[in-house]
Amino acid sequence: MSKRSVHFKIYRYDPDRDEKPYMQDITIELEPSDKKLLDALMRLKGKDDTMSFRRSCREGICGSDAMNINGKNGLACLTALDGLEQPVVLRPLPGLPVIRDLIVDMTQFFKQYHSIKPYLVNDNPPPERERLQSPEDREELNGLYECILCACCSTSCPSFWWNPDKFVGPAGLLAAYRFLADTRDEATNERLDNLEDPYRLFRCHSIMNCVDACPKGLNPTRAIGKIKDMMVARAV
Amino acid sequence: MVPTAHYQMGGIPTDYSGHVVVPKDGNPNTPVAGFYAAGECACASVHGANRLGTNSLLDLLVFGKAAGETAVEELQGGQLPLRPLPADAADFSLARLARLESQINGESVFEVGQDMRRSMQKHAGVFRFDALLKEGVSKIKEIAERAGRTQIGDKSKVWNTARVEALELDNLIEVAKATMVSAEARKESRGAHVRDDAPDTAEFPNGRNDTVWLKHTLWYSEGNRLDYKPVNLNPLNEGTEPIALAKRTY
Ligand code: SF4
Ligand code: SF4
Ligand code: FES
Repeated sequence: MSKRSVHFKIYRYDPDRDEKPYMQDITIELEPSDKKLLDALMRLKGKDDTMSFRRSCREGICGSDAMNINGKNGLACLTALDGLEQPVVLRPLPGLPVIRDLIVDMTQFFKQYHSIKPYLVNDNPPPERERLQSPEDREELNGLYECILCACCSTSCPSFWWNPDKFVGPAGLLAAYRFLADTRDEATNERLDNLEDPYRLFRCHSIMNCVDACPKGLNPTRAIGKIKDMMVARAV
Repeated sequence: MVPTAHYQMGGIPTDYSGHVVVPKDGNPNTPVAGFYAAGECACASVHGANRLGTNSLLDLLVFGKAAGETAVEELQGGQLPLRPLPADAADFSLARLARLESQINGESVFEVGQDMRRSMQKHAGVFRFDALLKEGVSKIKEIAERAGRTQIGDKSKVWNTARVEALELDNLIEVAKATMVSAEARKESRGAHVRDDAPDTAEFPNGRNDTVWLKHTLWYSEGNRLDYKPVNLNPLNEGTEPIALAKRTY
C-alpha cells in the first residue's frame, strides 16, 4: 500500500529571518498512527524544526493549538486528517498579532478574559463545609465551564477583529455568564455594570461565527443573549 | 487503543509546607533553606504509591497555597539569610544553551523523544516485567546519552520552540531515568507499580512486601543511584490514629 501523505500550504513568518510572511508548500509522508492534524504537524516539525506552533496536551484540553485550518478556526489535535481537503491551508488565528508562523500574541484575548473577573466573588464568611448548590443550579453551568480558552471563537468574530481592545468577545462573555449564572456568586450587579457599555457586551450582533468555531461545542451567542436578558430585567 | 501517561507520581520530596527536604545528618527529611516545590513536580507524599482520581488537586490547591505562603512568610520574616548570588550561578543553564547552539552531527530531538516515549511505554508500562525493566535501564541510559547530543536547526531568537523542546527533552530524560531505575530496583508490586513477578498472594497482599519495601525510593541524578527513606505513617495532628495498611480490594 502506498504511504499516505498530506499536502500543506502553511503560513510562515519568522521576524528574525523573513522580510515578510509567505505561504510554504510542503508535502509530508504520514505513518499509519498519524490520525490528527497535530500528528502531521509534529512529524513536519521532526523534519524541519523551524516550523513553529503551540501545542501541549494533544487531546483538546489545554487550548494551545488553535489555528485557522482551511479557513476555519479549530484545534489541530481534534481535527481528523482523513477528510481534510488538500492542500491543507494553515494560518495563524485571524485578528491577533502574529509572533511567528502559527503563533499569535494572545495578550489582548486574555486581557479581555481577565476584565470580567473570571473567579467566584463572595465576601460572606465561608461555611463550615463547601458552598453548596442544588443539582438544578449546578446544571446552569453546563455548557459554560468547559471553555478551554483556545480563542477559536473570539478570533472568528468580526466584532472582536474590529475592537479587540473594547469588545470583550465571545470567550470572555461566555466566562462572564458562567459567573453571572452561578448561585454562589454575589457580584451580579457589579458584573452587569462592568459590561454596561456600548462596546463591551453590545458589540455582539449575533453573527454566530463563534458558535460555529468552538471546538468544544459551546454556544457563546446564547450566553451573550442571557446576559442581555439580565441587563433588560435589571432595567425594568 | 493504548494507555497514556496522565500524571507523574513521585517528585521532589517536600514537607507539607512546601519545603524541599533531603536526608541530612540522620534526619531523612531535612528542609533545604529557601528551596520550595509544589504541584506535579513535587511529592508531599499524600498519594502513597498511587494517586487516586482528582487528588492531584491537593498538590495544586493545598500544597501550592502552603508553599506560596511559606515562601512569602520566610522571606518577609527575614528567617532566610539571603546570600549573594554566586558569580557562576547562570553557568549551568548557559552551558546547556551553548551546547545546543554549537552541536554538529547531532541527534534529532524528535527521534530521541520518540525513542524515549516508546521505551518507557514498552519497558515501564502499566504491567512490568523483570527482564523488560532490566533491558529498559540500559536502553534509557543509551537514550540519555543521545539526548546529550541533540542538535537543532532553528537558531532564531523569536519564539524558538525547537530550542524549548530540546531543553524539555533533557528534563524528561531525567524523569525517565528516575522512573526506570527505581522501578527495576523495586522487587514487589505497590500501588501503580505492578510487577508480573510480584502477584497478589495471601502473604503479599496486592503483591506488596511490607517487610522489605515499605520505604520511599530516592533517586539521585548524580551517579544515577538510589537510596531509600522510611515512610511516615503517623498523622501529624495528635490524637489521630494512623490508618493501618490494608489490601486494596477494588
Ligand atoms: S455572535 Fe456575537 S460574539 Fe459570536 S461571533 Fe457573532 S458577534 Fe461575535
Ligand atoms: S468558547 Fe469554545 S472556542 Fe471559545 S475559547 Fe472557549 S472553548 Fe475556545
Ligand atoms: S494540544 Fe491541547 S488542545 Fe490541542
